[in-house]
Amino acid sequence: MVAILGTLGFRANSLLPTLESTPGVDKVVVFCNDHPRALEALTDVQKVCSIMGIQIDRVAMPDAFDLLQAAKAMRQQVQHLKKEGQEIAVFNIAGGTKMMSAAALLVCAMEGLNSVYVHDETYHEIPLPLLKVDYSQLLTKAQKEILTYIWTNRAKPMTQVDIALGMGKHKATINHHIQMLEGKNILHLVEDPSDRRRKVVKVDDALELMLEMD
Amino acid sequence: MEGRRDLLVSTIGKEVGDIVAGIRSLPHDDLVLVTDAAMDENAYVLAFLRRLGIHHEVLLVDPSDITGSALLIERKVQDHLDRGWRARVDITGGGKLLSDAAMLAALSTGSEICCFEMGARRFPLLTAMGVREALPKDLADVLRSHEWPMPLGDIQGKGKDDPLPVMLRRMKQMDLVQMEGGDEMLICLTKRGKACMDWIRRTKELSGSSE
Repeated sequence: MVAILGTLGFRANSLLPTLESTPGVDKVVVFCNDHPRALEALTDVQKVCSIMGIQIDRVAMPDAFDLLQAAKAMRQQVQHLKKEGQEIAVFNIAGGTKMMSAAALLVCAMEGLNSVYVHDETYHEIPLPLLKVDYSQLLTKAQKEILTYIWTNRAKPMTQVDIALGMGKHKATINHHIQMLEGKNILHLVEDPSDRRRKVVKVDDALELMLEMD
Repeated sequence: MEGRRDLLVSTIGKEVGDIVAGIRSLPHDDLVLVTDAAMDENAYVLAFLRRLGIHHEVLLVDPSDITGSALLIERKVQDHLDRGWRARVDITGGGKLLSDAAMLAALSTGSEICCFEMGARRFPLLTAMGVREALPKDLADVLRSHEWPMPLGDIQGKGKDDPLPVMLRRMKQMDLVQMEGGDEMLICLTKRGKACMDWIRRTKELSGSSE
């Protein structure tokens, strides 16, 4: 089955050109929030899909203004479709809020999907030249293990010594990897608010997305 | 020893508040404001930055051309990266197209993407894969230098030592080309292939214009 994905805002026209231009579409997955105007646009898209004999699924976006949450929801859906063996022809990122669109673009880069933008006035499709982000070549197995450990225990501020003890690794090994990861901007060493002499490791919420990388 | 210098690229619309969180929390030795409107409309933003003593420049992009906008931002970032700087791209301000163009540029250069719309969100993308990184040079050359579509017959006549058939197979695996039938089978660019070719050609034009 061939599926297309699309973010949807207030205008069905931001998505419809992709339905028309993609051959052999069986299914459309639409990401939109509960705003009445977005639901109106969804109804329009549903009507067109019904005429064209295309199945349509809606994924509700609980928070259309949170880049991370939107990206997580979209990525989950993409992985679900892939698991089902569906071919994802393209992701139309033109509709919805700015953060929904940006999240969709991020997911396209992470999952290696084709993406298109639709011009606001002309409604011409503009394919975007994204290829796949490949983290597996950029993080070593040891670095990934350390990041997973930090992420799992993120509620508790940890120093490099805490991490070494927790993982049963030599302190120098952990220090080396932490330095590399800090250099790559993946984590930061910050003062512990409860003891300013200690430096603890801090990671951003977006790390969760990276750790899911194959 | 002097530390590594930091570039902050921030998209900006009409709200100066959109860039404040980024300026306050992200290190920056240089600030590039990306806008799709003439900044004289936002003179107070520039005055605000001057008062804070923030060294900045303004990059005006065309909101109707997402690829062109992304390329301009990418070029600015890449110039800094080539000089050993670290770059971050804050996509909080401005409209959707501006943010998407900035994100494309960040993905293409492996720069960290930041957003402060709902609390701080930072995406350290390492060396992300845009056209520049993900598309091997030999394939980029094929994309740029050949005429498309390409008759399949022309390829079938190639000798074993000709690298083109192997390169075309690799391009097919990357969804850059596809076969299209008719009286004569043709190797055509896919949408992604066309977008990549457009990106490569326009990058070349941009670098040519600065020489």
